[in-house]
Amino acid sequence: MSYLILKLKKKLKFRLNLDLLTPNKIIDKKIAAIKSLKISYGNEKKEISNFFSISGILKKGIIFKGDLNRCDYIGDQMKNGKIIVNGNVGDYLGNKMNGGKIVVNGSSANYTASSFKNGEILITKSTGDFLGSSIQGEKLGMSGGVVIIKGNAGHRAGFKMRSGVIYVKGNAKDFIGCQMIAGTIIIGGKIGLNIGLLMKRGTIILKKQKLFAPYLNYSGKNNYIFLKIIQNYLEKLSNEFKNIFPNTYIKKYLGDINCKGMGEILILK
Amino acid sequence: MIINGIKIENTFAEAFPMKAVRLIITADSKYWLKQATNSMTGFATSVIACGCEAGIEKVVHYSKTPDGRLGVAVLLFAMNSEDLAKQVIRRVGQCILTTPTTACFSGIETDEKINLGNAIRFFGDGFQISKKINNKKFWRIPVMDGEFIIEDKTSIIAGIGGGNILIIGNSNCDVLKSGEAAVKEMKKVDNIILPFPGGIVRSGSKVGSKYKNLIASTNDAYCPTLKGITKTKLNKNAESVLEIVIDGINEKDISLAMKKGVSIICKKFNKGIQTISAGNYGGKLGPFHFHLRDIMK
Repeated sequence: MSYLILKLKKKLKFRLNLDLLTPNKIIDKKIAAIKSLKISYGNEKKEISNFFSISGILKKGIIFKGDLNRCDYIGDQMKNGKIIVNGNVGDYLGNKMNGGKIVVNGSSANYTASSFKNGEILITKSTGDFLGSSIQGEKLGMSGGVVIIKGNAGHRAGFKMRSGVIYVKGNAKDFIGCQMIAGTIIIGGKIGLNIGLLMKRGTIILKKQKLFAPYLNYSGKNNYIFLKIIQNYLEKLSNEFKNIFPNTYIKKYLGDINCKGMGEILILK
Repeated sequence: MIINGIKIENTFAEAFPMKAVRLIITADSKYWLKQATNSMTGFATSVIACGCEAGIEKVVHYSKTPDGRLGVAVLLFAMNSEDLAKQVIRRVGQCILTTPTTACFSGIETDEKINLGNAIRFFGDGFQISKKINNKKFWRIPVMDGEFIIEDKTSIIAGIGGGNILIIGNSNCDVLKSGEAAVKEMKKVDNIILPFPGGIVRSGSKVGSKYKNLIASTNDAYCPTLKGITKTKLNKNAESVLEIVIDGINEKDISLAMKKGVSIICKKFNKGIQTISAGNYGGKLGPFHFHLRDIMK
């Protein structure tokens, strides 16, 4: 067994901060030391052993079991290794993460991949608001890596995003790519209002949409072969992306013209 | 050593260290791919006056190019990194950027990098867009047919220039035909190019000249029309000599290409060809010595 397994013992009443349970932070600790680590639970500090039963060995990474929807900061500042969560997770999943991979077999709450720098996050269900955004007060959102959401995303996905790729297979709500600086967001389903508002640069790719945004200018149809480069890269990560851009001769909108933005919204159909 | 009646001279090809870069050029069609790469590798036969030596290495299957289109790998060689960087920017800027539908990518990864799109992006006049994909940066430069995609940087590797064989025969026709067959075989080897037109050079050179401004001049010892007045290396029946020059990124593939070239000549052209030789400068110029008889063992 090469994973450290943490199984949630009880239903949580308050929010639990798991920022210490990142593989690179506990790689040199023995199980006894890990059990006695003190983490924030509501406004108190308590030992991890109060919440989780711990088994296995930390070689490849950590597996969390149980409904962790009140557990925040999983994978905080993670640099390597792998975290697998079999259940839902709370806010700030993969916050400031700089390498490694997180797989959530469930949903995540708000601020998933906030200020995310590198690595890969896969959510098999949906995520909340502020996906790949900056955390409060910071200028830059996600600045590298890949985030894949197989379900839907909430409001403000890619808020202040700087680089990297966000893929949402389902729908995404309002303000996608708001204040986006660079990077790529791909939305497979429907979108909400005000997409690309105050966008400076970056690319938002939509499968099939009609856009009526006064701050976006239609810029014709052309062959955008860089999509094939993105596709080749994503195909290596997951079969999910096989032939994701079957047609690269597509429509383009530029904006936000109100802030002299050069962000682009590409529409595949 | 004699193979199928052809004498393999006990000599060696003398080659010298160079710097090399491999670029992958892609385009929508074979036609425009050919136009772009022929243009880029044109006037790049010898560093003596062209600034670099360049040629088409191989066709790259669409499944192995970054943008999923048919591609061609091009190798460029120069005497040092600075000269190579200048030539890469000039040739990509004037020959690939200008050709409809093309894109340009780095074809090799090392720690030593030079600018590629990072220099050419300024053509976009502020409208260029960068994309970072899998830790590689690409530039999308707006042009009149859409966008030109180019990778930000490309790697430099150590190369070897000046591997060669000399084909000595009874007539121009025999030597040329055997040379053409040898080139066809040698081009099947990866990691090498034959920088001269059609892979063959007729004006083999020696170092220096009676004219002080010239650093290279005709190799009179191998000129059949000068047999009567120079210290010739040709026998009385030798009436034509052609040279095939090989640049490569390692000794093994240059040796393999030489072996393939000589082998096909010995196999199919034993009636018209007398001798296979190689050009060298007494071992004083370059550290890489390709001994013909060792290669043909």
